[in-house]
Amino acid sequence: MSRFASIGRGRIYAELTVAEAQMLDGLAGQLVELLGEGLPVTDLDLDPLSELFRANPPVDPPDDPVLRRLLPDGRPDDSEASAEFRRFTESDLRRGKIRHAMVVHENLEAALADYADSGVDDPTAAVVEIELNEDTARDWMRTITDIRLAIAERLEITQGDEEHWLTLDPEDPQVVVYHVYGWLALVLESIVEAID
Amino acid sequence: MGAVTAQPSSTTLDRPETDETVLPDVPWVTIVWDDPVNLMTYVTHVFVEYFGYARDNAERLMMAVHTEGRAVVATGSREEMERDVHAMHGYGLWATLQKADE
Repeated sequence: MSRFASIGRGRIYAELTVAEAQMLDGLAGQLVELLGEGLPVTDLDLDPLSELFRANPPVDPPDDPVLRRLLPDGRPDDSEASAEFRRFTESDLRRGKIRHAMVVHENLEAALADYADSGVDDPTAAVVEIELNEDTARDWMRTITDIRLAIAERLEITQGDEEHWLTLDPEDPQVVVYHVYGWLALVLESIVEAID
Repeated sequence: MGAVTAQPSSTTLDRPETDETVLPDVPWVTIVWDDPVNLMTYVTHVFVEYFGYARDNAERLMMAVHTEGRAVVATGSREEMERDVHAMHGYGLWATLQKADE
């Protein structure tokens, strides 16, 4: 059961399958790569990105529609003001999102390492235990939201198109990703409910 | 878009760029726009957590975003609204700022 539940004192807990944990870990890694423009970014060392943006602060919206959704225009009515807003906020926004995704990545890596150490042979019976506090829960909510925004943009998901997706071949890679998108909504909703 | 009767156009008066220092009473607003992705519970959570709104007020705003396509979620100086929009983007919400009378 991949839903989070409160276990008291501001902590929440869920059990993921190995496949789920690895998949989410991979998606968080892709998000970091996307936001970090492929630069070697770790949680402790965001300097390559800072250097890039200090030398050349972004003023134009990114070309990639996914990045445009994650880093939107603040003043679409006024291109000059929008450029100014972006110049002062985009770098910080990117670094914040990377930092949150790195927390999710580290939590999953640690949980997967615990699972590997447990010596459970049968992967279908195995669970990866995730325990979050109020701070890490916030990182997870933001990162899952960003991953869902990215998937929705790539798949061109629109309001009320659920039926369309259910009529497609379930083996279609896009449909598989659509189900991941739906699964992430359940995980996110369970976090919101468990901490509120 | 209403008529801009409250302000002279920039061609009639040679003013500094920062209008709001000349007209401190002109408020700005933060608008959150509907999108097909964000969960209603999450949007409500963000309004409670970031703005400190009571839950019923946050839910009303979330429903306004959802049913009307957009809602003004905060009013204040331009700097404050820039901070709010930046924060909303950090949460993954689609937000913009503009002058209140636009």
